[in-house]
Amino acid sequence: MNMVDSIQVVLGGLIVGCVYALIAVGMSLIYSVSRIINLAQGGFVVLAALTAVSLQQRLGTSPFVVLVLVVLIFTVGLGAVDIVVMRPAARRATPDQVLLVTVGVLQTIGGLLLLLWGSLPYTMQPFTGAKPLVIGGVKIATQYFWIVGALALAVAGLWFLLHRTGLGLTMRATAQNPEAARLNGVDVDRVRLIAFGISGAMAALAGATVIPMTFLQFDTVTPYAVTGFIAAVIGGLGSTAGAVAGGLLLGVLEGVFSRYTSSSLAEVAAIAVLIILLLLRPAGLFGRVSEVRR
Amino acid sequence: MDSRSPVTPPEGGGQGGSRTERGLRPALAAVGLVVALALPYVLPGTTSLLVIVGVFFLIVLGLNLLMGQAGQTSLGQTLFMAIGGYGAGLLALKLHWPTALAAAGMAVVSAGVAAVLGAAFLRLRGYYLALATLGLAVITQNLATGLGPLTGGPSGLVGIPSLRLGPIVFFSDQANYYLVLVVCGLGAWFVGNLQRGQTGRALSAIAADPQAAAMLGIKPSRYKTRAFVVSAVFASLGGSLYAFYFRFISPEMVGVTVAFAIVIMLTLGGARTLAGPLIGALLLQGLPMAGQRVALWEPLVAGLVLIVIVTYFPLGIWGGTRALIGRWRP
Repeated sequence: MNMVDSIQVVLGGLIVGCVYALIAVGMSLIYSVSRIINLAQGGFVVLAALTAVSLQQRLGTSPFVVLVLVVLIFTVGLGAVDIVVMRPAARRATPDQVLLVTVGVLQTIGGLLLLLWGSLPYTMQPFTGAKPLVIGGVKIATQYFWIVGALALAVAGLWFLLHRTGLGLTMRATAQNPEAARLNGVDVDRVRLIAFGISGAMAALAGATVIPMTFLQFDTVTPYAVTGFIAAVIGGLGSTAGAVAGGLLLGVLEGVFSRYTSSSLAEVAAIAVLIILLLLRPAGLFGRVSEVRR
Repeated sequence: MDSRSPVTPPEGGGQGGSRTERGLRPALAAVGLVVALALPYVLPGTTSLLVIVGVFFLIVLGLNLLMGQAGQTSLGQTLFMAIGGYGAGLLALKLHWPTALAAAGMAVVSAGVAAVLGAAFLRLRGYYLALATLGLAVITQNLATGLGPLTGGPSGLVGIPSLRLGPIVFFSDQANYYLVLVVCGLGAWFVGNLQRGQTGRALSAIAADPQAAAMLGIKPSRYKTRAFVVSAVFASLGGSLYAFYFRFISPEMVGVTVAFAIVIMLTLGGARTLAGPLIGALLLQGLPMAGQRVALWEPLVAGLVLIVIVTYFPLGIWGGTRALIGRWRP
């Protein structure tokens, strides 16, 4: 494999990794304020992607209008999911059972996709032309810039919210100690609602920007859910920087592995890494150990 | 918030029930047996469905011990289904092992794998265990797909022989049904005894409070690993029966969706009981057979039902009904 090929593989891996990172950042945010692992996060990415395809076909407007619409729909939509599903579950059930509830949400998304979009795979036109940029022999699809841009926007926006606003301070306080925050008058339910809304926006950004590069259908929800989660764990649940690093690392690893073997064996390798990591360093690269082991 | 205790056991769940219930149990079992024996004649079109329901009942029964009794969520039972299904299929197909021996051999292999994995995995707390086992489920499906030369890749392993016991070949739907019935009956008897006995109580104690259990001299890791091993053996046998019945096994049959379905069946029907897993398996496997339109709706409905049951009826359909009846009694 020559130099140009290697760069191409790593670049492709990084782009896939950006999508994993967006899923992981959303999961990580929800986990930090509510200790809920929302396995359905990856499912919402696929749902957002197919919603974008349908909106584009129906409205025929520019992809940017579609992107904005999808972000709005999913911000509100995940807020609704929090109120209708997660709030009662978090009140009544144990953490184990809440995880099962999110499995139920994931299954519901898959069912909804099958019902509304059927079992055929969908894709979309790239936002800005199909002709890639060529720099030193390395092909860079213009869509890559949109995907990287979506991740950058999400991370920068989240950082600004968390570190430069009063609401962010409340959210960080809740993340650090939900009980103490509640005693100080923080409406923990509202913080979780906002976290869900933000994670919905992130799922929409990921879905709408990645769909021109790939094909998605109802049964791609589980791979996205699982890989996004793995990325979040590699980084250490609750850490945004960790989630981004985990996502990018996982994307590159999968890209390089699948150069040498089939893509399914590449995923086996990636998940084996996860399991070994869970057992050896359960808090991930950026997290704390005590919460994972008995 | 992590210290909230899991589902409280239903009335008399581990103790053999009230006196009337204890008196009723043999009668109920006898009625159930007669119905089960007569079913292929009463509803001849459904025998194939009943075989599949039976296979999943067996797998869910095993998981019941681990998840219902010991409170350890495993999303990775398909790993053992695959070991049982692919393993026994390959032994019989490529090495011409007697089929029953192949199934038994793979059950032993599954037990060994579960013992090793259990020692490592069951140290993980609550949902990290669930997630590690979810990793196992994904690995299982991908290995079945990716190891083409061995497993037949995405199109599956074809040409697996039917199960043969001495002179009897279990080829027809009906023969397989009665075979599965016997295995399920033995499995239910075994799990029922285990649940009511000392092991079951030890497992319940661990689910309620592992530290308190340890103080009473119950070693949580040992009991949890045992439950994991039993659940693996059940899943492996189920997988073998599945493969021998269809004479075929594919990555889809041991996919992540199936792994979820197994957990949904247990939660839906109600853990810690014998009837719960049966109800769950019947509902989840039976609904898609009701027609093309229903089959299309099934994943959506299964997801919604899981959300509602876990949130509002943590005892499941059977457990919830029993609790209601218990409340009515004077």
